[in-house]
Amino acid sequence: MPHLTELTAAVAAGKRTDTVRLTQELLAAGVAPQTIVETGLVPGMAIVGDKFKRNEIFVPEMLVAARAMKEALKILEPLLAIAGIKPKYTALIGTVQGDLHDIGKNLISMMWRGANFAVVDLGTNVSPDKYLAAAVEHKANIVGLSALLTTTMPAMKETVRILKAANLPDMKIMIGGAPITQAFADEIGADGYAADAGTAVDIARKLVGAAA
Amino acid sequence: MKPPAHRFIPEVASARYEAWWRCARVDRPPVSLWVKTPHPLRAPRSTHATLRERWLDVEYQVDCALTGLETNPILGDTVPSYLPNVGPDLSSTLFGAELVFGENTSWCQHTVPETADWERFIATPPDFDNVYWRTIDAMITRAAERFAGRYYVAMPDLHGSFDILAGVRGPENVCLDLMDEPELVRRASLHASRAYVEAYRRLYQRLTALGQPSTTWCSYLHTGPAYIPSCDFWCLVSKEIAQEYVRPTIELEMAPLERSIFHLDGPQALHHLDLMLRLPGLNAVQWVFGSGHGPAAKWIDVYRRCLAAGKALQILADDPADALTVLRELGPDGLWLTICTPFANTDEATDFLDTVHRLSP
Ligand code: B12
Repeated sequence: MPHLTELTAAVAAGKRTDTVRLTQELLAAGVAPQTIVETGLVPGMAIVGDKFKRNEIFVPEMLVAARAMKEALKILEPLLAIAGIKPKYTALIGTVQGDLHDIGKNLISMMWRGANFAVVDLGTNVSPDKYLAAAVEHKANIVGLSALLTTTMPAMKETVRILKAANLPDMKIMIGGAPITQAFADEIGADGYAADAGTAVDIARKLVGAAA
Repeated sequence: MKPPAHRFIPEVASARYEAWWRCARVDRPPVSLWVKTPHPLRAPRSTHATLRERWLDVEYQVDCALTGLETNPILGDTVPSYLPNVGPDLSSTLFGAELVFGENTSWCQHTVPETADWERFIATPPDFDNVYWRTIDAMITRAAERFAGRYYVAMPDLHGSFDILAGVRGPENVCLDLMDEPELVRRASLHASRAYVEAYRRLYQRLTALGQPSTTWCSYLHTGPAYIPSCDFWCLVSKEIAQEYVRPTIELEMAPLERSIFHLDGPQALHHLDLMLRLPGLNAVQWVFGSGHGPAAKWIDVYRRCLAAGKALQILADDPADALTVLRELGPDGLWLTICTPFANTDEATDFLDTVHRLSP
């Protein structure tokens, strides 16, 4: 039987064929799907997040790792569903109204998935009302807003205002994107800000009160 | 010594830029600045049914440009020019990409759906007869007629190799293709670079035939081929990928140029600073730190590294005070100051020009 650390290394290196093969072998050897996710795949994406944070890897390396993880999850998710196992926390993510940039948002979404959050991706150009409706529908613990344009920063402010006004229990708002700063997050009343996808996992975990 | 005139004088500005390219100086550094117009611009009214029609209406676009040029005082070394423009993806339209127009910008639709489709891309020669290139050509002709030598027509905004690939396939897909099929991407990138060079050559000939020097959206002057090499895509990739795949495309694109200013865009691109500074023949750097990351005075270390490598700098200052801080720190040699916020009135702008002159002994 392969070791879970081999799977972790395969994900971190973005080797999708190896990741799929190792996942199948571990399942065949009787390892529980949840263990494969939590002890094999999630630590792989954590390595990727740390390396990205330290500028040791960049977007292509991150994308191949996320692709490998996704292929493994395709095999595991139906099994997890049958067993009634769901991630503990749900995160929404989208790029704010008027903004079509989505590379940064996609990386956050991948990393949150990689940290075993259920992620609902609302896409780009998302209106405040759509965020709110989705936050209610999915009982989101985290709502992530991304903006890359100075001209769409006001839309971010408006979205935060509307989400806060709804007073949803247990919902925290995180924001990010190249022109966004901690100071702007404080100014508009967002609960968290992260400058990169690795840190976005740490902050999201902190906000929902999950152990790191 | 009496300060030099405040208004734009072509020969004087040209001499300042020619010296600046070589990190030298005639009197003060070149300065680009704008003044808020006292009354709102009476822009021509658009009666277009769609944004696309408005963008591609040559007469209307030239009208708008003329209104702006005739209303604004032209001071310092701000080259009074019109940029024939259909948005940043003009180069991608050479490969069949259609543009979608928004209020202030346009973007292009992907035409390379799968990795294997790069082969088709590589086999496709650039199409200079598409509607966007014909429109750019007509804009140049019409502007030249109406300006009658009073204003310059600027070199349109051409994005280089990897930005063309990102335009036709999407940046994330190009990242994945670089991991999966690097040699195929390399061939596609060199094909795109050759198309870019051809585009530059055609436009350069077209514009010099009007009897004017090189200028573009970044308002330098040079008698001879000059341009802005750039790669927005490379902020996504490692130094190794940039060195191995992006660098050869930039070098190819710089080959026809006598003068060049690299457009380095965003803090995420800064890890390629050393590679950029090693580009053979590069004269100058335009460092765009981006909003939320200013002011320019915060980036003195980056500027120093560029100057130490013998590169001139365009400083994109938030406001006059920011520009003066940088000028005091670095001294006047090799600097071109651009003030991104318009001055409240002409007096403030001319005072600023005098101050820059005083600080440039
Ligand atoms: C790629 C790109 C594009 C692509 C986008 C493709 C896509 N699918 O996303 C295209 C070509 C379509 C494009 C279009 C435009 N762009 Co653009 N684009 C870029 C570019 C080169 C890179 C952006 C990027 O993807 N970076 C990489 C990712 C990984 O970084 P990131 O998004 O910042 O994300 C990280 C963090 O910020 C953070 N993060 C991001 N989101 C979130 C969310 C949360 C919740 C958290 C916690 C963290 C977080 O984590 C991420 C990972 O570490 C930048 C220039 C640059 N060098 O930054 C310009 C740039 C952002 N674009 C710009 C502009 C002006 C435009 C256009 C208006 C004009 C134009 N036509 O070019 C249009 C706008 C269209 C629209 N309405 O949105 C400007 C914005 C200027 C400004 N400050 O307002 C920039 C800065 C270029 C410039 N200097 O002019 N662009």
